[in-house]
Amino acid sequence: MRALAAALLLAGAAEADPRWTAADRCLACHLTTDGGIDIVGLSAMEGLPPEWPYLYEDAFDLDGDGIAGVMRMVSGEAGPVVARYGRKLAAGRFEDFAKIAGAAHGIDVSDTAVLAGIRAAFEARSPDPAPPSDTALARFEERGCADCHVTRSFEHEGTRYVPLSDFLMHDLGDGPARTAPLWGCDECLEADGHEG
Amino acid sequence: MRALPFLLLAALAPPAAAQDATVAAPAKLAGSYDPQLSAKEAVLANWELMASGIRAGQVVSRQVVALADEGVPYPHLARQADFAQRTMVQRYASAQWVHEGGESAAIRAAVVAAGTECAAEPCAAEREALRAAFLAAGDDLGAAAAVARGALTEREDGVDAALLSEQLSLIADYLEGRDWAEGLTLTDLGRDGEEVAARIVGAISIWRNVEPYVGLTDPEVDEAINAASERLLRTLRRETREAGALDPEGPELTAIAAAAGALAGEFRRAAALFVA
Repeated sequence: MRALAAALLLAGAAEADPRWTAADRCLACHLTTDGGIDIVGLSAMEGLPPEWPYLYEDAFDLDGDGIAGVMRMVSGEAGPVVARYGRKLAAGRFEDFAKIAGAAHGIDVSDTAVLAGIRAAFEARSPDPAPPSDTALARFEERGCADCHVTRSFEHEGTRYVPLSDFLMHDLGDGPARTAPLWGCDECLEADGHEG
Repeated sequence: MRALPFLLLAALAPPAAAQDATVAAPAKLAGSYDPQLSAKEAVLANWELMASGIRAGQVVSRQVVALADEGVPYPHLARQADFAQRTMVQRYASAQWVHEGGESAAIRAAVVAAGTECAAEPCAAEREALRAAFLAAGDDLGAAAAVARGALTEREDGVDAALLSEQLSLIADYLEGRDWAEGLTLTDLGRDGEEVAARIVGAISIWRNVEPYVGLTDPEVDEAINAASERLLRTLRRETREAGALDPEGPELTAIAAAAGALAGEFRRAAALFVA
């Protein structure tokens, strides 16, 4: 596993060996040095309640708290769906995001079996985030971070998750982007704002 | 003069032909991660937003019922109920242009129940009242969600230009009428401003998804809608923030109606772009 990670990290997607699978090529841009990937909570994302962004959306900051957040609808298998995946909320399902990313990087992921392979490869390496302590969450809320990195939790297959994101698009000055889910990043809870 | 033959042909063409026309998608940026809804999907997405939004209100109301059944400490139950009622009120109001419902006594009762304090556990009476109120409100929301879902289903076989035109016209009608100021649920709780704002914002939120198709067809109409929309939002912020009760004949609602009417006129122009 570590040897594959090292090889992929060294090569990168662009110069990937043509014998590598589509999953290997996709992993090349996401692997971390310990053999995991930089996308946290991929399995847990399946359990994110579909109503989540509706609980927080205030598209025009009518409540006057200085924060406008917008949910995003995208194409789905059976019609428009609420987007959850990607920094720009590009897709509602992992498979759709894989297709978009594959097209952007010249990786053919059109085959169903290939997509299933990519999902399996990513899910196997994606860290399963543990919820932060109540103390850490309380400090996080006190600093006002929880307005967007909300501290509400959900349960998936018997496990509690705190994604720390409203899954809305906010514009902080460099174009709209999704509130980054901070689950699994304990140091983020102690950071001094976005700069920290 | 060169346009005359084309105009004649256009005039002779049956309206249905123009209604069947596929509205072209805006050009994509190469390598962009920014996917686009087709024109038809954009319209259906707006119906979906409304149906799913109300459904979200129903889900959180059911969660409160479940917490009451679990016997969680009353302060925790009340906090969750307060969070839930805000979503319920906002989403029900946002979709009023679809379900055409006015006052919901059940939602109002849930709001009142969520604000009931109790310091001495087990708070059995308060807990039961809160549970019953959220159960009934959930039923109301479920019924409204079914209306919105039905509106979506009815349109799934429609053609994009006709669907675009219809939705833009519906919003124009809604903004021009005064349904958004009628049957306010929470007047005595001092939340008229919040309810009116949610109703209007819910209606104009359709613009986000359909704007690319209007902009592609007529950039001037696109800009006019954005300008009128900004004016309406400024007016809403000015007249509804901190507004407890709004007098139907008062200056606040008059100002909002004027700005909403102006935007309705622009939406009507946009609707006409997709009709023969």
